[in-house]
Amino acid sequence: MWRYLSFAFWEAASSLWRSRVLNLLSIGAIMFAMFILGSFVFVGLNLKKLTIDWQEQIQFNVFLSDEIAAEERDAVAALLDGSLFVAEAVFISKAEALERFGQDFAGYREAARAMDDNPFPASYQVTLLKGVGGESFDKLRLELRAMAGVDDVYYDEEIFQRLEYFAELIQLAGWFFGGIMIFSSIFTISNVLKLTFFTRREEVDIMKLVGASRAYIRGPFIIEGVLIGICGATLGVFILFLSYAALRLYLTRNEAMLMGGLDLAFLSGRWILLLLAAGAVSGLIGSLVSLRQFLEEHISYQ
Amino acid sequence: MIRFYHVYQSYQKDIHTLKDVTFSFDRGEFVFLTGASGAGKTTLLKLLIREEVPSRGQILVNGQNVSSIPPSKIPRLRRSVGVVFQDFKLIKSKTVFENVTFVLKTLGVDMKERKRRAYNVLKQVGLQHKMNAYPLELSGGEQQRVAVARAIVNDPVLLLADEPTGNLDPEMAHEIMELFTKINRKGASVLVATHDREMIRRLGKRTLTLHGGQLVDDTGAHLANENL
Repeated sequence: MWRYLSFAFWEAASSLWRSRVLNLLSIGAIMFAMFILGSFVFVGLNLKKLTIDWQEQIQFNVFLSDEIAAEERDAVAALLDGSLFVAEAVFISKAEALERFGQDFAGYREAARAMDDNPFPASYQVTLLKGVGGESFDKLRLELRAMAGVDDVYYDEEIFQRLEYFAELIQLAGWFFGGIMIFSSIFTISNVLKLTFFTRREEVDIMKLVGASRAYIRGPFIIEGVLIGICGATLGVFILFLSYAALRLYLTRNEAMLMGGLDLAFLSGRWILLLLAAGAVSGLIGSLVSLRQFLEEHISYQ
Repeated sequence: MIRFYHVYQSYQKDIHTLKDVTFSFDRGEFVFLTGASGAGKTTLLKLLIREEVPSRGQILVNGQNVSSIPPSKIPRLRRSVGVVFQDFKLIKSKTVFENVTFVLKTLGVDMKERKRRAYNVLKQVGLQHKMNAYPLELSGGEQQRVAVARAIVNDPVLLLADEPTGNLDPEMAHEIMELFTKINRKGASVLVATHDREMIRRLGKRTLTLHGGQLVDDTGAHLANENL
């Protein structure tokens, strides 16, 4: 078995080299497909990572009623100060809230000031310790909500859900477009293999005449497809890595563009292996398709 | 070794390339197959390695009915038969060494042994110094000798040759025939298709003569008939 595989591998490698210009077409097609697929996966994974990073340090607001008594406010402050989970709790008075609104929405500043009554409630902007969430957060939220003088405890969960959904959508789009690319590259590979077969038809005939078994003629063609797939996928991942390195460099130089401490991560080893395997399988399918559609008849002994 | 029983071969209805050919020859025999161009010599050789299937009749090679063996057994049949083709059939992208040892490689023979055998057979045809040359770097005669080396590298029990000396000068042709005689003496059966009457006369071996697809003469018929 080992001898057969080594024979098929070296025959395939030498054929790959002999028809290198033609094979570059297939390698390029797989490279492009894997780059596109890898890019989508990269963006999706980083978006997911961003939402996880953001969710890791929960921030929420405790809105106080306008009629809150001083001792009720002190009780809320005491609870937040005494909590083991709270990293920081900043009090924002009604006046500060109005001021912030004016800063955030400059266009409405005058309209807000013109109002007789300040509609913005006083609140506490609470930041939990990193990693605190789940039950501890729910418990604290319920406790605060039950306190006198607290109108609402607001935590925008929806934005994270939307971000996560968006990240998954991007990955899904990656598989979709990547799938189309892979499909077209399989066609390219199978057609290029047909062409290389044409250039080697005489050679195959001679192999048959001197008694090479079907497996020994077929094997190199199959391995050739797999090698094309692996070479293409490796190049695709390499170009993706270069793009990642360039993007990282650009973001580091333009720190203003870094959103909320966005630290880009490249694809994990498992993803890289998956892309290489996808390339190899595409190559394998490409060569099997060409064998089945066309070469089998020629290779087989009648 | 070879038995032909009423073999017909035709590519078009009623036009026979071979017509009712019956003969046999035994292990260790040296037989010439002669006839004018188009007489059916190459077709007969093609039938022996199952490159073609006869329209009618039976062909036995080494006890095996080649007209009915399953496709999976064809490679083994061809490996047991050494063939020297008229047009050499060398793989242009492979060196002389690779061409000669290709079948050994597919049989899993290791590199050391392949080198040893290739050197031995190439020495016999006087081309041991051209191991790393490519076929297109060789003359027609040299290519023919490489084809001979390839045919004998696996110690075949039967050696078939289709016009093996057609591209060679008389001296080299004589050497090749000497080589065939030597292989024959070692025990292999040899069937050489040729229209070189002078060579046939000189070697004085049994000769089958085809004319228009029919076997019209067999100088060893009296011996062969005893075996049928």
